[in-house]
Amino acid sequence: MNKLLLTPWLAGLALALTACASGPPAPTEQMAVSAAAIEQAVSAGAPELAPRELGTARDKLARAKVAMDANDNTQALILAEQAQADAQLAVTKARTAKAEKAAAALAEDRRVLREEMQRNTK
Amino acid sequence: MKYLSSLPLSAIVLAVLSACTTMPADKSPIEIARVDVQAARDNPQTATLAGSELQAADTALQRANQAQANRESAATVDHLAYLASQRAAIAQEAGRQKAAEQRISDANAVRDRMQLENRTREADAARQSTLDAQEKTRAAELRNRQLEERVKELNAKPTPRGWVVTFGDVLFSTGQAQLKSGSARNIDKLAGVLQSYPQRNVLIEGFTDSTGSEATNMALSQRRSAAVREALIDKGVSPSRISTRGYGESYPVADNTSAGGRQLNRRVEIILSDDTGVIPPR
Repeated sequence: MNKLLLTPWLAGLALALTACASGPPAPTEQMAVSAAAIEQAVSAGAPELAPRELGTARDKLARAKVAMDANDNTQALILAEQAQADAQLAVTKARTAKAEKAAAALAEDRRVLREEMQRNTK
Repeated sequence: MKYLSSLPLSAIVLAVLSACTTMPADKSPIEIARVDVQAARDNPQTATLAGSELQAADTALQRANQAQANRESAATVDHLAYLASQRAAIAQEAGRQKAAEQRISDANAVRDRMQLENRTREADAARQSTLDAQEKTRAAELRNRQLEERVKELNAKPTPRGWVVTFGDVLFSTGQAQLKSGSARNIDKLAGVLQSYPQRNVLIEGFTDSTGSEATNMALSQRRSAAVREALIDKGVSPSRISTRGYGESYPVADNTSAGGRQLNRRVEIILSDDTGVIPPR
């Protein structure tokens, strides 16, 4: 019974190893691209304006490194690609927040200017 | 037997799949991605302002759908679905960003226009006030010229204190304060000037020669200036506009040793104020 059960165990283990560890080369290029996307997010102001997305991107890139070190290149590539997408979302969110803030400030400027003009015309 | 061995195998496969997958398995990532991308398509702001980002989300979703149709691993499908969801989110954010940028450029345009209008209005106001000031200056100059012509008929002299009209001794009875009838024309003209220039006041100063006592001369100079004041009041000039002083033999304008000089010193001087009613003290 024990011996009979071992065969499918081994088969499953082998499948698991091939599924995760074999196949694609280390995704070093994608890792670099994702790291650059995270840097871009930081300079766009994501640490203040999109901290959740930036945190997710960083976390995934770190996990991609761990996976790559463990020769799990498939998983590393997946995580790195997702980190890039997360970082790009962080960039867009940060830019949106900035643009909306600027738009609100301009609307306020215009309100003040209009008040001033009304005072002047009186 | 066969049934028993297949159980742990499928468990292992599941465990492996979940290890490779980053999405929680409670709801299918590809379902989520389809909803996300459709929501982005349905958002008019995203559709009109973030066309290329929406296109990228569409492409990502197509890749995920294709992977599913090709029966690729669930991990791959989930991963591609996640990327499609993120692309949809990026498209939505990009739409929001573009809309805000549009508001910024609109606001800038409006602000520029308002500032221009404001500056134009200010410039117009400044020009108008300059014109008003020039008009006032011209009007004042004209009035001053007209005044000059009228006081010159009274032989008025311009002095640092203002126009000065001198009533000579001949207009008074000898040694007396009474004005002779010959003075009537001068009084009339003076009263007329004061009525035409209501903001101007007059100071009437009386002087004598050095003949006689100082006290007598002082009294005479005071009475003579008062006589001119009374005459002006009789012609309708408000008493509040007329001040008088007597200086006796002080401030002679000629030599008291000759008869001619003494006659010049016996006089009343009427000083016309400026437009503000002020006459500088002697």
